[in-house]
Amino acid sequence: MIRVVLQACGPLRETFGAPELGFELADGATLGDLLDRIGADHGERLAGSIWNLRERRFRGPVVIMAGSRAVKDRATPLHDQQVVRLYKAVVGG
Amino acid sequence: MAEGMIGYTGRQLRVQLGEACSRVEPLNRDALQKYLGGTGYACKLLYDELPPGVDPLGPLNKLVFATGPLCSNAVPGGGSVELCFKSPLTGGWGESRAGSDFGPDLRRAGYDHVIIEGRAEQPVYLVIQDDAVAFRPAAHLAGKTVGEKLGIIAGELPEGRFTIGAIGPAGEHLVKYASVMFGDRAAGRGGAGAVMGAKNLLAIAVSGSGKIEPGDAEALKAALRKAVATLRANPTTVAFHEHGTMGDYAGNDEKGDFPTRNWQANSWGKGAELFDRYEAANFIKPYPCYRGCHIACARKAQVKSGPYQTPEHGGAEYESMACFTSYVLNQDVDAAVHCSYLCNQYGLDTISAGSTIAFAMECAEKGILTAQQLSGLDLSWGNAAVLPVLLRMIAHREGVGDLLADGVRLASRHLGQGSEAFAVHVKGMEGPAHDGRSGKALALSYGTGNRGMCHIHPVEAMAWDSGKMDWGLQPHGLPDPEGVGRWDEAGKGSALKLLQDGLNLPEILCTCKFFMYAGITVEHWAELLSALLGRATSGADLLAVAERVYTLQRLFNIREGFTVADDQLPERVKAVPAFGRYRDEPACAIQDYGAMLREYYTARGWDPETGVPTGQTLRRLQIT
Repeated sequence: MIRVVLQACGPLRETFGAPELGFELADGATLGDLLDRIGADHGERLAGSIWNLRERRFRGPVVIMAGSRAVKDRATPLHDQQVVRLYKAVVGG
Repeated sequence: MAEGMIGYTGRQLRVQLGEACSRVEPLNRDALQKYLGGTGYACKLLYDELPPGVDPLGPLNKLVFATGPLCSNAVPGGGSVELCFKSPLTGGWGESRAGSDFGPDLRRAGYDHVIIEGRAEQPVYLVIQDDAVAFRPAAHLAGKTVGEKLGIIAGELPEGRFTIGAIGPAGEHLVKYASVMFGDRAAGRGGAGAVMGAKNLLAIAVSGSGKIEPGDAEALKAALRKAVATLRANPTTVAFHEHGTMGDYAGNDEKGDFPTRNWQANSWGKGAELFDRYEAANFIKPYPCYRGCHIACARKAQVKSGPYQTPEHGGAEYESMACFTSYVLNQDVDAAVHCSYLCNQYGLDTISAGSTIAFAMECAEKGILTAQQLSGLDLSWGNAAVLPVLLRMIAHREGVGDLLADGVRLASRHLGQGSEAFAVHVKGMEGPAHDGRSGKALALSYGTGNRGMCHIHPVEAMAWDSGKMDWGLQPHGLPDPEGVGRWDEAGKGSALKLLQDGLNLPEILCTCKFFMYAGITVEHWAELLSALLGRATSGADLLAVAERVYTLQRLFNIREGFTVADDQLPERVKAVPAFGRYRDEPACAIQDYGAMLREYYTARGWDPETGVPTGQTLRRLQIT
């Protein structure tokens, strides 16, 4: 098992009800696995504006950062004790 | 380079269309010191040179293609051009920016600004290639779409890489919200296209081979590295690139920032569904609107088949899509993409066009526009099929399109019968796709915007109290947005003054304001500017310039007869929404707009009752 920490930044802290959430995932887990777990654990209560319930992915300008790099490919491997940060940007102009 | 003009070309090109001649002038050094460039320098020029009361569509109006010292492909956001003029839509200060290589190319040609004067006897287009300025006959371009014009002109130009700004049929027919198009990018708001059309100037092509040496090349490299590193580390850069302005479509609907059914409500409940449809069926890829952009938020979109089949093009921005969906209750995303494309081809501002059609639909519903006036067209809410038809009629001033081509303010005055109550505009400019009931600072910003109810300057108000952004302005006095309620009213007026000044800087420097959303602060701009000009400038210095510019634009409007009455909001946009998720949320309605306005005037050093800048303020700002 690996443990991945999701840090919700800015207004997303309120969305998730906490600034930080831990997820236990199987060895070799990928970003897709993390998204599936987010969907299973939180999907029903996440707002439709940021979460696509059917496709188990974020909707709109939500960015997942691993270190200084944005990640979006579901096949991106995750490692134990990895911290991923979640941002929602303001982009509508 | 003359002293005080390092970082500039030092020259402006004045074009007299009536006599088909031009001359090169040195920049006004005093104006550079006080107003820098872009909309600042152009405002000073137009304030000094335009007689009060001049007809915006007459030969005495002037159109300035303005750049600034940061207008360069190498600078983040520097691929910009600012068009400044007296607006035919509002009768007041007009400015409109486009992301394009036009600005940097103009500076490479050796000019910081082009000032267009007079009126050509016959249609012409202008070709500027370094020192050569040519007036070309353009009768063969008349009536062509923007795309057709650009294609024909490209085939007639001499050797060289040119950037072209052109109007479409809407500009030729003096539609009061006609745009000037730079490829698929629009200087859309306020009617610059009509000003160009009134001058019989159908296009301008520019090419340059020169280079502007910075005051301190090493410092410039360092400042650029720092700015680019900031952008790369900021998630908003990724968000803009991945989703463009459409990214907030669903979120805005949810938070009540989504004008719906001609502003009867601020949410619709269809945002997520329509956003998914757009991403799956219409979106192709992101692209940069100028060479070198670090964000590349523009979208290539298309409609592959069906009644609204549309070729790949640059467009389908958030504002355009909202105005052709929620405003008119249209759920056909293909139709909205098609309408955005048509506006680009006709040279129409998508926001005013969509808003005006929404107004017309409500007029039809209430029987104010009759079947006879509508020539049998069905203007029922949600009727997608009528949208392209109306756009063509507006662009060519055919039938009811002639009335709608003047915008909602004049159309409602003509129609009467209570239609003024739902003609949503400020100073004559139709409202964009953000709603002041999502955050009260936005409401005040709409009212006090110098060019009216626009989508550029006011948006930071929403992004502050609702979106919790601060753009690094807290050290300059902006309250921490985390401590501000979006529906609070007290304190919004004083905060707005700083928000407007700080986020007006990109228009003065001739950069793109999205870069400030992605982490570039006034201090970054100051570092870049200091290196370019070879003299130290601070963020506080730039904010002082921005305040001066904002106040001079205010004086421009006052001279044209604007009063506190022109800072008011339509009652509809202050009221509790008629339907949607905020219908039972009275706190979102504006409670005491007058108090917010007085607080704002006071913060600006304007008379709290009349909104006129005081003599003390003008002396402090050295406005003479």
